[in-house]
Amino acid sequence: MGRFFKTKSKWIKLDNAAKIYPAAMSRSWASIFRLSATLTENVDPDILNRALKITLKRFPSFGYRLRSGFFWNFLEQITADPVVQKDVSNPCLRMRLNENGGYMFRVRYFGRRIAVEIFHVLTDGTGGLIFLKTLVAEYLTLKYGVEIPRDNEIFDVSSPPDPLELEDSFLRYSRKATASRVEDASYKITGTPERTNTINIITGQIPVDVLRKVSKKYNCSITEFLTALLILSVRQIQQKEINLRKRNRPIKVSIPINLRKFYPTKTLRNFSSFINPGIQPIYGEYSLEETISAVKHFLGLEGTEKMLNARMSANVVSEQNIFIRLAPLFIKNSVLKIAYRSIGDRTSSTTLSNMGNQMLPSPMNKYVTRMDFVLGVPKYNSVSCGCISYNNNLCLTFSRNIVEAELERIFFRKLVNLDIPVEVESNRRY
Amino acid sequence: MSFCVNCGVRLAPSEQQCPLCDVFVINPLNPWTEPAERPYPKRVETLIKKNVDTKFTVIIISISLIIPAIIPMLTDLFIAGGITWSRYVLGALFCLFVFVPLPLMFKRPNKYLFWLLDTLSVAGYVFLIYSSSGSRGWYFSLALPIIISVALGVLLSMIITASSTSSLKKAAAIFAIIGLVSVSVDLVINFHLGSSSPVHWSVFVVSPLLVFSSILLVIDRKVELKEELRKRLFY
Repeated sequence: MGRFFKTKSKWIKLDNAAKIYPAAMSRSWASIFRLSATLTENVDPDILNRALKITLKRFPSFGYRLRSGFFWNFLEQITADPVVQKDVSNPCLRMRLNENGGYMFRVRYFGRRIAVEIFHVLTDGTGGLIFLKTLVAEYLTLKYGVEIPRDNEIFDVSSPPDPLELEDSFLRYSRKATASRVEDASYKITGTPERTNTINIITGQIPVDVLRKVSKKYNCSITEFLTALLILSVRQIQQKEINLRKRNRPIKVSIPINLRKFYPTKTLRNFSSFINPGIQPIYGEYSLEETISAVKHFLGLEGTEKMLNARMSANVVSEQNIFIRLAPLFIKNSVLKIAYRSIGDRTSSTTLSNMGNQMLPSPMNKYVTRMDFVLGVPKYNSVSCGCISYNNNLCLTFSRNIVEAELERIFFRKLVNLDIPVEVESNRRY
Repeated sequence: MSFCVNCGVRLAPSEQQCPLCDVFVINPLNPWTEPAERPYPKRVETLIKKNVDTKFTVIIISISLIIPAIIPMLTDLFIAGGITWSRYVLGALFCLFVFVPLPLMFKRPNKYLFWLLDTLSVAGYVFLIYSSSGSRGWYFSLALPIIISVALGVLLSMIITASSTSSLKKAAAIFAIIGLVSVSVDLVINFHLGSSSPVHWSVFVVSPLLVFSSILLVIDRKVELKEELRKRLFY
């Protein structure tokens, strides 16, 4: 008892977006994403371990473990060193939070690749990307002695961490005006469920210049073009449905939006929202041009600072409600589970998260050949898609928990039909 | 470099089949060989089950069994001057010990051996009650046949569960076994009581169970229905 009270470990509250993930977590699922960088030579695990140790000191927000309080979950600081792990063929599997010293991320290596898998409670894609880039820069510095210039995306590990990197920017930037989060349910892709511990991954590598040229032809961005194509691919699956209600359900793709571009925040914790552009097949069949137009205009309307702020403010207002705050955690968990089901996955058919075009400083660019982004499969959807561009190569990765690769097949065939070359690889074991 | 003839996509050297449509790569000029570098390793991660400290569990269960054994024994010794009624408590605790902590002491307990031990301990405990009580004639004609028929039912269920047959067939067989056991228990009771009719209540137990069993066997034969059920009921 005495020891319990004498413990002086630092703790912080979960950020507004992170609060839902522990509740939504189940025995076999947690919201995990993975970012990786492929180098020119095989990774040395000892050097990677040293690099991780150094990098972690600059990222105090990554050194926390999840604990349960009476009213809310909280994050408690850990002092033990994490250890790098060998990679696996089924990444993004739910991590056991009592292993790896309680860390909610894991660094994995395989051949020439360094990968970081992160539980969404810790940070979002942007925070994860800064961590990966800094880790790789530190690794390259230790291995080859290269001097890599540091900036906002590759941190200087010798400088002290900024306390603002730990702030919950949702609380700081939310306002009083809120917007409803209620949306119609979307069409769901179904299939034969995969065995436990299995995740099917298919990555398509696409030349960015070709993709940009085609997008330009349709007068839209790469994300808008890929989203429209994904919507039409889902529609092709939906057309085969016998049930009329299912055949006419709206098709929406969830697109995460980085809120950092609207606010001058330094946070390394979650600070992103999402919007669900889509089509209403009940009104008739959409052409590619029409779908692109629907996506583009929806993003234009909903992707503004005002609308995104109203959406995030609704979450903050709910969190600050006195009745919710005073409810014990086990009740909150049940409510949040239902909320995740109805607000999270139910409103979209799949997810497309584009991390954008990544640039690395030239001393680092020489050693990094490729970057990848894998989204774990959502809890109530069967397929998700993550993409990242680097060195004129867009890696678009589908992850799914069903046997059938129908969405991927239709999507990549559509790209090929538009004269966009695609090279595919998978995590299939022969 | 190979392309999928079906999808038109270029396949990475690691792909023996197109991951999109499963068409095999057949390139007579460049037959597929396992490349030196694959996109993912072969190692598969499994969600490791939390290790239970069995030694600690055995100690805790044993201690919690010793306490209720000592108290009635001492009370009996002080009040009656010997082991009289407390033998029932001791016998029940011994049965419980054979059922739970004893198998936990072994790393890989032989389930058939423990089935035998469990049956013997129950038969022994009931015999203890029989020999201690004044009434006569019910052990060999009633209790022992019931214990044996239930134990045989359990043994059959264990054998079926361990077999490689489909889960629906297993469930159907277990339903049928429960029905058979109930009939045999009914038979034994009626024989012991000298009743005119060999079976009574077991008819109401065995009929729905056999219907369930038949339904499961029919579902097992219908592949599409089975798939639909698996799709709807997966968790």
